Amino acid sequence: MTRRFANNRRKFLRGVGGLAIGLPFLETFASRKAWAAPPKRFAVYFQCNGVNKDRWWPTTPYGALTASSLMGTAMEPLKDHAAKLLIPRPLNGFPKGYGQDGVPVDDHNLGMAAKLTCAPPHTEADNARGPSIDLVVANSINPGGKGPLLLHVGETRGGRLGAAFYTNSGQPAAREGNPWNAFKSWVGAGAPPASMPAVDYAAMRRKSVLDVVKEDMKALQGSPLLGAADKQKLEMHTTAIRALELNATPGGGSAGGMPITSCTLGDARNKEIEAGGGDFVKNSAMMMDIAAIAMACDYNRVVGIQLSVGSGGPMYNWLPDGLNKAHRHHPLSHGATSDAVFMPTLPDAEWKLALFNVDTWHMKTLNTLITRLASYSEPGGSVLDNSLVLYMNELSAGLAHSHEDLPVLIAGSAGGVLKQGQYVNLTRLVDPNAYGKPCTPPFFITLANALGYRDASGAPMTKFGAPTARGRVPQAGEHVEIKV
Amino acid sequence: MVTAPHARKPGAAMSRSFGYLSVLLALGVAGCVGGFLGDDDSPTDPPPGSGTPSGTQGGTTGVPGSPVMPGPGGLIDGTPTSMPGTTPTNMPAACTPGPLSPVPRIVRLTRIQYENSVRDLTGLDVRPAKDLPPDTTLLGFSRNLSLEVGDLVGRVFNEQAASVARQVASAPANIAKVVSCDPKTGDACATTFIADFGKRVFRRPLTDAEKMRYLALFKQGNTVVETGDAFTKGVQVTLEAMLQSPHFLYRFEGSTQKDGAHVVLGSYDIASRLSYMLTNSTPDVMLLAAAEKDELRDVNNVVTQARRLLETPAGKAMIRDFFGQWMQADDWANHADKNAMRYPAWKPTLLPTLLEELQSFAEHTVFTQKKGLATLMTSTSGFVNKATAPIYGVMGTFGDAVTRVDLNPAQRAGILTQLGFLASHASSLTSSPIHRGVFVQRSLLCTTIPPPGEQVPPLPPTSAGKTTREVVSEHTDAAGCRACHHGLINPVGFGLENYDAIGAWRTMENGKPIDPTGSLVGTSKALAFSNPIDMAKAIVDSPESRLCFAKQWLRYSYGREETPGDTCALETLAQAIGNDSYTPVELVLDMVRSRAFMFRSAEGL
Repeated sequence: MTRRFANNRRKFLRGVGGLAIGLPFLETFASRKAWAAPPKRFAVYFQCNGVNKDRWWPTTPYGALTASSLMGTAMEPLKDHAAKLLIPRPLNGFPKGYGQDGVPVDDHNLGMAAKLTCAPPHTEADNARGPSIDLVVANSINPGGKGPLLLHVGETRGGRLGAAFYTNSGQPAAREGNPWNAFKSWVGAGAPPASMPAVDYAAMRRKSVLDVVKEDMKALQGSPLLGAADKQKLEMHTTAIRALELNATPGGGSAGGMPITSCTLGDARNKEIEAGGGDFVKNSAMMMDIAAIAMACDYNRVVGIQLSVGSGGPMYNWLPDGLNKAHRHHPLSHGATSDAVFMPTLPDAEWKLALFNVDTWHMKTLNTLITRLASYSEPGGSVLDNSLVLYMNELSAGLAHSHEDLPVLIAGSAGGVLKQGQYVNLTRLVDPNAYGKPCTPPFFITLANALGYRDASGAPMTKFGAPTARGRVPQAGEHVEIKV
Repeated sequence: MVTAPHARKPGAAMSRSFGYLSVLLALGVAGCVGGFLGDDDSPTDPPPGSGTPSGTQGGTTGVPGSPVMPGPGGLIDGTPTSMPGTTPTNMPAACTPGPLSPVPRIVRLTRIQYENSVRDLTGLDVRPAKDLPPDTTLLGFSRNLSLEVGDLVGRVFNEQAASVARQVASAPANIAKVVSCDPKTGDACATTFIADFGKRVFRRPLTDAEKMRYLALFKQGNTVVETGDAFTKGVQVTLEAMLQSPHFLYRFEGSTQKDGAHVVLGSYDIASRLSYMLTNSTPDVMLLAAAEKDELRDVNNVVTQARRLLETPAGKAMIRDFFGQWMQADDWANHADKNAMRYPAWKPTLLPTLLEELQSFAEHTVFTQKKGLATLMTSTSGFVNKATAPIYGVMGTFGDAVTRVDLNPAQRAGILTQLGFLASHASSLTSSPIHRGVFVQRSLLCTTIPPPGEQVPPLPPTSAGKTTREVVSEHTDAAGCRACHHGLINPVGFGLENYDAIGAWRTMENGKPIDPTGSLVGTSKALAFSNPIDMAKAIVDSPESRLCFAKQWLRYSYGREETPGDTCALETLAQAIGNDSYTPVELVLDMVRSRAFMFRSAEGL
């Protein structure tokens, strides 16, 4: 293990030196030993506040999607990938919001804490009541049950309003906000040192140290006094220690082992990332690249990227719109100039245009991730074909704090399981607890199983989420209409 | 004996849903959220025995007939049989302490506690928490018993342990800060170092198995560390492991000694609880020595240590930290963009000065003036520098550092009228009475505000020539909004309308006079006020603000929400808070003197 690490790491660090820089990266894959069947991967792109629903969805009816279906909508930047998109509608958040489920928590908080967990808080002191879908999937499809790679762009907040991703105990999951930290630790890039030591002391020291830390952990875990929450904390910490060991080797834990010399963004991009992003635009672009390479090279099969926080900014002042230069995202999504006013005080046409420009910018950003994943070929097509890239956000209509008819978009088919190039009318599942429209728990169940989720007993997922304070439980079942 | 109006009966007062309903009922705002309440909208009278506490009108006079603070030697909310010589002197007569709620055995250090601990243990000026994500807050406070170590946090701990250990090993002077014996003695000194330094890191003596494990690692240092002599290498690798050991990163309370319904904590457990609660850092040498002598099961000794710790710079920093978190300073940066044309005096770079103002004011009030809630809410002391003095309209020559000045008593009264709070509860153009009102209700009065109602049809854009008050009143007048906004939020927010988007004083807006009048809704007295100064006084005079101040300190100190088991302690504290000479230092000492601090629940044993 130690020697292999040293070898791989050295080879990796020298990586591009021996190859032509800028060589399209996965071109080399076909000629190398690769996976018999490539793994499935899952990315969640999550942004905040609401969208301009008037110009979000395709302009053509339910059915086949083409580039022209997307023209003039926020999704126009994705038009080249129209054949790889799946747009399900209508989908309601669980819970619905508006206090309809007896949760004394406002809808911005619900939009963050419940959107990807379907496990809403019951009190002001709660976060979520369970994990978000990325973690559940990662624990199943990542080798060693490793957690997802979680990235963050923009402002941060400590509570549930600041997080879309949650741990098994419903605590906000930590996200890495510094592109360089994410890159060097998880993806393992960087300038090669002037001279590599003959013995990799860092790896040996790390192993000795972690062995002792694990013994300490075992002793603590052996205490008969621990309650369920305590045990869960230590279990999570143990997983984190295992991730440190796994991540010592790029591609560590993957089924077949990727040819690691290909796994780089190239020296020029490495240097840019090392120099640090700083602003929202630069960091977003860097995080898309880092997500793509982490997925393509099997550093992590699940990646979550959160842009900004609930009810938050930024001020999208780089966009070609007067209002975006003057107001932050949150008030604009309410059509107002102030965070405190929930009614439009701006002319409809103007604030909706500003919001549309924000939505379009997010699709442009998402497009860089999708395009990169599509450019990597591997058995079964491209990395995109073997993945699901899910776009979700905090609210549907920001003005009304709505959790109904959510803007949702999927790229990739999880290896041919989900439909492609389709705008699909979701239908309500038969369930006594179902809302009037399809809601998120069965939708996530469908995605998880498409990604190959299996529980400890080897069975697919049948339940996701946790009840509201009123005891309403999410429905089970799968949305077969989005499956091939 | 006076009982705080919130405490109808032990236990019930702490129930969230109960509190929520009681607020709505008391206000006659049934129907605030569709479906929650019936059609009965008649206001409910205060329950029997919950009348206005006598002698609290001025807010600074204390409660006649009752001591300023709970008597020394007792717990403020009950006495277990094994606690010799302790008498609950101040417990409200009607209050029977409920059972303590279980808390985790394992509690992760917060970001700041981790950083302070590493700095105090190594004596190095390091910033190991700089790459840690923010702590998950609980009810606005970062001390949260549920904090976890996921992949990212674990990686930062791992990297920082390596980095700090390397720094310690890089210079003999640094080694000398962690090693007390002579390295020339080899194994003997290694053994001593592991036992002595290990005890400081783990906040308890190491077990024999741990000593052996770490000695073996120390010896491996010679092969796994590249440079340095064998002893230095051993120190480096040992430190690297200890600084990411779960025994360091978590406080673990392993006591099983039952005493009736409680578990009595060991002296080392108490030392850690006390040190992290009072100083946000690891126990110092004196506290560890007291634990070694097993002196800390006696509450009197604990209070003696607590009093000492609160006078240290770390103790003062903790008091400052509370006020920063209570006033949501971490969120200020999210509201720092102001319209440059309208507010040329403002720059987002003022934020550190504004936080310094708040915290200097708190430190001055608590430690120099030795005053409590009333002075914090009504004092005219300000701390300004050359950039903020003009915004306050203070004449004079000032530098970069903040200086204490007397502010205009007609315009300023305590923390609620400071720029940091006011500017962060405002948009880039104007004040946000809604955000200010929600803050007063939630953070100063502990009112539970229900979620916004059903979707309401948008109103047309408003015309110019209106005040913010008029705009907000109209916009929140829709059927689904009116009850909570007009009944709870707006009136107190409007009380601060004399302050613009950066907190500067104003009497006119858009050519119309400001109307700052209203009444303190959401409290049992609903006192009328005619300006923000009056409103601050009304807040101090409300029993709700005193109970809320106690609750906020409890949440911050214990890292959890209050439970029925805290009811008696909270009532006692709330009553004491009515006396202005009862400072947060005394309040913290009284929280140390409580069952929740000295014991654990025996549930599960």
